Amino acid sequence: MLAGLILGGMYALIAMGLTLQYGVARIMNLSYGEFLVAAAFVAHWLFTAFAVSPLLGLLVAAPAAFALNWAIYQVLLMPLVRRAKNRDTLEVDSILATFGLLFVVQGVSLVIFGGQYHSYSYLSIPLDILGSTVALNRLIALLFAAVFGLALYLALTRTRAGTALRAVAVDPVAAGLVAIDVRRASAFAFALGGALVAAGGVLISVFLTFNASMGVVFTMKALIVVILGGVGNMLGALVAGLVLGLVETTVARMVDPGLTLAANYALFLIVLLWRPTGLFGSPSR
Amino acid sequence: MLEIAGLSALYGRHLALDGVELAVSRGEIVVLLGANGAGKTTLLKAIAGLVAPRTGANVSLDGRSLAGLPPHAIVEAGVALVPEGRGIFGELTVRENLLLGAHARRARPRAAENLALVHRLFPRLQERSRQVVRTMSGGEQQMIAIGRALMSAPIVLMLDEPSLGLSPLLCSELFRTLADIRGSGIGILLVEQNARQSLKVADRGLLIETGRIVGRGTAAALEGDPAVQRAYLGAG
Amino acid sequence: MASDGAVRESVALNPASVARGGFGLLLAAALIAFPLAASGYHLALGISVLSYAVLATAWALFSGPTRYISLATAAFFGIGAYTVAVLGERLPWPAVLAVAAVIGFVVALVVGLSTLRLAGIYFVIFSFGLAELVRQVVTWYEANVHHSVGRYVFVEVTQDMIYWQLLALAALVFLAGWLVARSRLGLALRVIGEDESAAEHCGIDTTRAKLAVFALSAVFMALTGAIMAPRWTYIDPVISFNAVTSFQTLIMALFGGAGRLYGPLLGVVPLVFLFEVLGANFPNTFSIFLGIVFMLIVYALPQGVVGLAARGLPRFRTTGAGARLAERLGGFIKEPAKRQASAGTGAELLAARGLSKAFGGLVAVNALDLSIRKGEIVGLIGPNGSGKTTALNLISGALRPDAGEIRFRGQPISGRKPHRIAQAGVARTFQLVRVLGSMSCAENVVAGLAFRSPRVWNGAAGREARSLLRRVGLEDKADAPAAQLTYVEQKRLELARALALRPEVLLLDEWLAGLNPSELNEGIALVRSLRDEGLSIVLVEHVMDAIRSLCDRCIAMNAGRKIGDGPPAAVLADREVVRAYLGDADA
Repeated sequence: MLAGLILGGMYALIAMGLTLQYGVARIMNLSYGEFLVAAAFVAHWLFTAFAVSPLLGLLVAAPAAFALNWAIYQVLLMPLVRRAKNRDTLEVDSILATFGLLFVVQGVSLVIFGGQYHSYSYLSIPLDILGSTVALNRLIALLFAAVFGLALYLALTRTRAGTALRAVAVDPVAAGLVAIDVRRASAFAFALGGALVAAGGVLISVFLTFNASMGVVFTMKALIVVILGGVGNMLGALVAGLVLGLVETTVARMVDPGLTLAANYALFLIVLLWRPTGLFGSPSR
Repeated sequence: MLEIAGLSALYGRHLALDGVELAVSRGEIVVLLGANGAGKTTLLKAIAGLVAPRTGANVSLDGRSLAGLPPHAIVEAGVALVPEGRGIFGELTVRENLLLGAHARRARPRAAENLALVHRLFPRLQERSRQVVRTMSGGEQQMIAIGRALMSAPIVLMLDEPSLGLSPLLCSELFRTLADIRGSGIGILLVEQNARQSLKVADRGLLIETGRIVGRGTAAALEGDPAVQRAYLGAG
Repeated sequence: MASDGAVRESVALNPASVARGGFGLLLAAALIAFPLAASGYHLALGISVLSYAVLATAWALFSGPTRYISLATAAFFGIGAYTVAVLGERLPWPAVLAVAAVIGFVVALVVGLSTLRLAGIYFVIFSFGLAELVRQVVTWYEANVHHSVGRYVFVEVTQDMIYWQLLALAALVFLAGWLVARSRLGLALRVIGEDESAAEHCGIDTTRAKLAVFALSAVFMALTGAIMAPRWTYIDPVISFNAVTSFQTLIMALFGGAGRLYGPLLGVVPLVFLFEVLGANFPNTFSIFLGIVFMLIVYALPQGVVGLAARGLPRFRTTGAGARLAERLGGFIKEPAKRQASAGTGAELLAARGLSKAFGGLVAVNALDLSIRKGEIVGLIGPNGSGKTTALNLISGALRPDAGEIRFRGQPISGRKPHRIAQAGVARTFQLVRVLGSMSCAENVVAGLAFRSPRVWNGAAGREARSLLRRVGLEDKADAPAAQLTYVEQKRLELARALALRPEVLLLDEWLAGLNPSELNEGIALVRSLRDEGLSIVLVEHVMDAIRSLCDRCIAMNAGRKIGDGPPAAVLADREVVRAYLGDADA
């Protein structure tokens, strides 16, 4: 149960960035997971080559990812935004474009870091909590992730800029009518989402063994969490992430660890057939 | 003063506006009357930058040209629109909606002062500051929409069918509020189906038919004009 | 014979067709003889070209017309390959192929049934992960039931045999594509791709149509995977369900252009060579180039190479030997239910009782009672937001009522799917015109003829389409693309398409809006003549002159309720109706 919640918490936080990218900027980013893995590689490299703690590595990875994703939005995605007649066209175009980006990023990761599995040991001390054994590094990662989540939540709800982002997610046309520069807000949201996923990658690199081709699975899970939670809904994404984590650990324990993705998909389908806009989505999209 | 001349716009392949000309000054209410499909909503959207006017249109506020600017720049200049369907952010709270209204740079220094004004006009909103807007009634949502537009410290306020879905009592409250807003020096361009009540509160009126202005006059003159009834209900 | 203007495929022996036929035979002979001349590297290249030709064409079979992007190619390919790995030594080769095809078909049906009903974007996402999902399931099965992941493929098939099988499969997929394009199924797909809502109101069972072609394309992909499997001596789930397969298929199909049958082939040939060169010279950075090429295509060539070259519209042939053959073979779209004989004058055609519909907290229609008799023109009026269009949507099936029922000719239709209601005899136009822009006017009307009860197809469809266009005054625009029509012409086209369904009740949603006085008079005359032919019409309008001159009866709505029902003059003078429109004089 605890393991399920921890896993779910990680999923929710990994999906945070995509909530921003899809909810606000309306970019269905299929290359999302690749950036997660790339950040994990960078953290690994910093640790093994320069003995830099991953927690410090965050300070490098996150801002770099922000800048990179801002550039990606302006150069790659803006032409699509300008070309799209409506939101749906933009979504399809962005899926295709980011599908291509997926291969580029995965290819770059493969070239630089190779195809083998990587991992490193950082604070892997087992702790006894509420009867289950949890590794310290997982807990620290979760703690940091929770801090980021909280910081994001506060930024989105207490600051003017954050509220503006939420407004764009709810209704971009009405947002324009309150003098919000929707394009600039979307670029910012996309870049911030990229920074968040990079932070997530650094954090999971602490306890997970990863290789260059795992990006797709992470993208899928993030997409499932975002859509299940109702697009643009942060709290919905949190709940969806927790549910996903719980379902996955239950299936892994009671049925088979090899069927977790199947369980994810089944959950995805069932919820969407029952509620087409997600668990908390609003009908007027 | 908001001045418009030679405004034409396409809605798909349809010429929705054809050479529209009008002006709205500070401290006056101008009401735009006409049947559905006549082009009223398209006109407001064209001024607000949501629909691109055809080249040659002249839309200017105090001499400064607004034609072709994106919506957020037009709000920044001082023209605010309360669209049909209200355009409020359903998932956010009353307070958040109102504060977002002051997002424009011109509005930020006067945010507190305008918020006090809005609360004075709509005391109910102050009571329900933290309530999520989606759960509120139509009348309350209308108040929030108008309040939010006021927060942007507009020079000209445009409203598209604000009486839609309101009970007669709320309607009269609405029109009283519009008179109050006019009293504070803001110019109002009002699109309405409720011709009678809006003519009672307006200073001037315009009659629009298939994209063209076909009648103008003071509100008093239009009140008794059979042309108005004809426009809505046909010759009878 | 040529007066209907439809294209007839001539079988006359003129020099052009002889030359074409001769060239075709030569090409076929060269393709068949290829393995005898080439070997090793060149044969492998030929196999590569053929396999991607099948995959890309099969992909475009579904994703081209419907515009649902499927990223699931690798899943079906892998299913075929893995079937061979598992069953290759146990069953004779043809049986293995058959099993692979069946499994592909079944998986496609399951996936399709669950995801095609969701919004297009969710379908794409689901297809994206499908390969991953199938791979996981297969890995689990192998690990737990078979106890070893990865199998050796010992099936003895020579490269030549693989080549010829692929060539045969390619011929089949082109034949299938050619037939589908000439059948009603193909038309259904194109209409769905243009405007799915309009498709449903033309009598098209969109779910069934999408499912049929999705499953068909999956079968071809699975067979390709099965035929290719013997090239690898060792197969494991990672190899067979490789996302690069989906990706390359997508690139090639999009590059060539998914809009025409031979489009993907145009993309396959150059790109296979390009990828060969890239893969040989830059083995480590291949992925990156792949991604870049793909992004270039998305940005620069949204319609593919075919889009660059093609001018005008792909002609949709409803006549000729091909179309007749397609019709005989295709039985995918069930013959719509037989319609009742025309009702007698004065009979009640449409009856709604207690109809209600709410959106969130907003009640759009509130306990509405409605009755339409044969031969009546009934006006439905009311101020903005009174619920008129919602009422129409409830009748046409675009929305399901929360409460109440609607009966047409005594049969309940409330809550039924729009295509069933359209086939029963209720047609409509839309407030925001929904014409099929990239199709010609004649084709737009044929869309209404082809799926109604009883359906009209082949030569008769072309003729009847033109006669309907003549009826609405658009006969000289028959071959023009609908997107080029003016607003008023598009409205007439939509009317022609609605009339093609041969309805008994016609719902017109603000059809007379935005017309100048002379257009308005023409429109009114047209509507009147339709009633004179026996049609019952429900007219949602704001143009009161039209209501006064056309309608026998007028129903007024306000805030979802009926507030008036009677002759127009009386209703429009009724105090409550006037108040609803103009507002209260007294505050």
